[in-house]
Amino acid sequence: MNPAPIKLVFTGPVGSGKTTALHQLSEITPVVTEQAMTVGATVNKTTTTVALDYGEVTLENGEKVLLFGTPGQRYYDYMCKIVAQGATGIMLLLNNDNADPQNDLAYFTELFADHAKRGAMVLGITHTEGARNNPLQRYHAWLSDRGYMLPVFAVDARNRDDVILMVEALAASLEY
Amino acid sequence: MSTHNYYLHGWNENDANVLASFLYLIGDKLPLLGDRTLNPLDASIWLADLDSEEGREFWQEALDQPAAGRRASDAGHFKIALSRQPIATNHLLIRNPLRINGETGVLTVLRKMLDGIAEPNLASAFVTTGERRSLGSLFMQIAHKENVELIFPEQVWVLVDSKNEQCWANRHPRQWIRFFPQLMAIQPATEAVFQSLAVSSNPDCQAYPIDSIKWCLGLFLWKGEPSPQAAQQQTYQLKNWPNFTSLPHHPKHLSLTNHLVRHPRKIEELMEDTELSREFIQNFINACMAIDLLHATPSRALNDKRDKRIGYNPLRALLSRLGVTA
Repeated sequence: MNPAPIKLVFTGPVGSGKTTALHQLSEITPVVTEQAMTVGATVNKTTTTVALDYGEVTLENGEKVLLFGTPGQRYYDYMCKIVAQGATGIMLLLNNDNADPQNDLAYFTELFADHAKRGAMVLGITHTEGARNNPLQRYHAWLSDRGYMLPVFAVDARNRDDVILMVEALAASLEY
Repeated sequence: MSTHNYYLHGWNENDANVLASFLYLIGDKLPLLGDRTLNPLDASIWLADLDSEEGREFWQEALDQPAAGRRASDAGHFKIALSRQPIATNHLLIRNPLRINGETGVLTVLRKMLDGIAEPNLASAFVTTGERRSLGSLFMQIAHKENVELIFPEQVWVLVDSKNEQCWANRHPRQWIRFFPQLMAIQPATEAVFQSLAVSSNPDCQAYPIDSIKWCLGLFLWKGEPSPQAAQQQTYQLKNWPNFTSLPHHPKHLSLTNHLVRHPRKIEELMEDTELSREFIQNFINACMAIDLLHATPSRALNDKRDKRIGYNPLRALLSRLGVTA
């Protein structure tokens, strides 16, 4: 019997950097499903994921780590839940510039509650440049109030070291 | 606890600032005030630096006074001697010397005295200070909102903009862990220094939270001993995960974090949990303390649903593949 595949899921709302972060890790050219945005396009973001992004890394023992990026629109929830089944960990990216990132946090921790409760989730907060007064504090406070002690980092999804740090934290969280 | 005044006999300004900075850090846990304008007779604690002429004279005079013939003004003063020289140099000056390393030792002796544990008069504490003076004074400079420049080899520098609670550097904090032990100089940073380095327009220069520099100080300053703040606690628990993207760190710091965010832990328990050395763990605790990440009174164990241990962790294999070794 083949062992269960090792899966990492990159999720979060539209414009949080999921596709970019997945690109930092994948050793194959990721399969992406980017389409031109019909609503909400900006100077910096003109396309959005409409199905799943996919990338992979082959380990030294030949096993493959499957990297999935979910679409950010909430009407794709069902797809996110299917992809997350059996996933080793969830990499949740949130855009600090969004109108209500705490609402995004609440939504995605609920969507992936099983992983959050097991500590199999790490948060990367993007677009914190220029933010004053510890921009991560509101995320920590929200999580702590609900009994979660998940890793939260200010990240730049274009920076490979930042994305690797998220994997490192996830690995540590899964160990006692 | 009531506040006590101390008077420094023969201390130079730098060492005085280091002591003041440590006392500032531990706040009301050791309420001591030093005032250069204070009349020595109004101070309840006298600290003599035996490396200075003034300090040696004071100490010799104090020792030469037979107990019965001591001046009335000596009564009630706690006296502590310290020196950076080997004990042998000053053995004639110190009775029953108690050797203590570092400024933390001074604070420990002071604390015991205030708690009434140690001999109240002519207590001999041999304290070594020295290489850590400049880093210690940096804490004080940050607290006083002074801007400073740290200079490292390979033209690496960090400008601490204390007023705006940020620092500028031409290397990412991830690399500071390599440079910090090689610190060459700390000097005041004037507006002209900021302009000459063109911090806001220099593409090699980035701004980072001031916690990055405080974290480094915590990590390196006490060299495996508890910082004055950390020494006040036996059990530690993190308030939340540190933002490691702007903090110099070792991969093992993430494992320590994972333990400390979920459970109150003693150093010994962490050593058992992680198989890391006491020194490594203590430095991490000191760094967390420096950026106020530790609960003052740890109590709560997180009620989560994690497995106690997992065997094979596929993410470790992934990290190895990505070039990260724990």
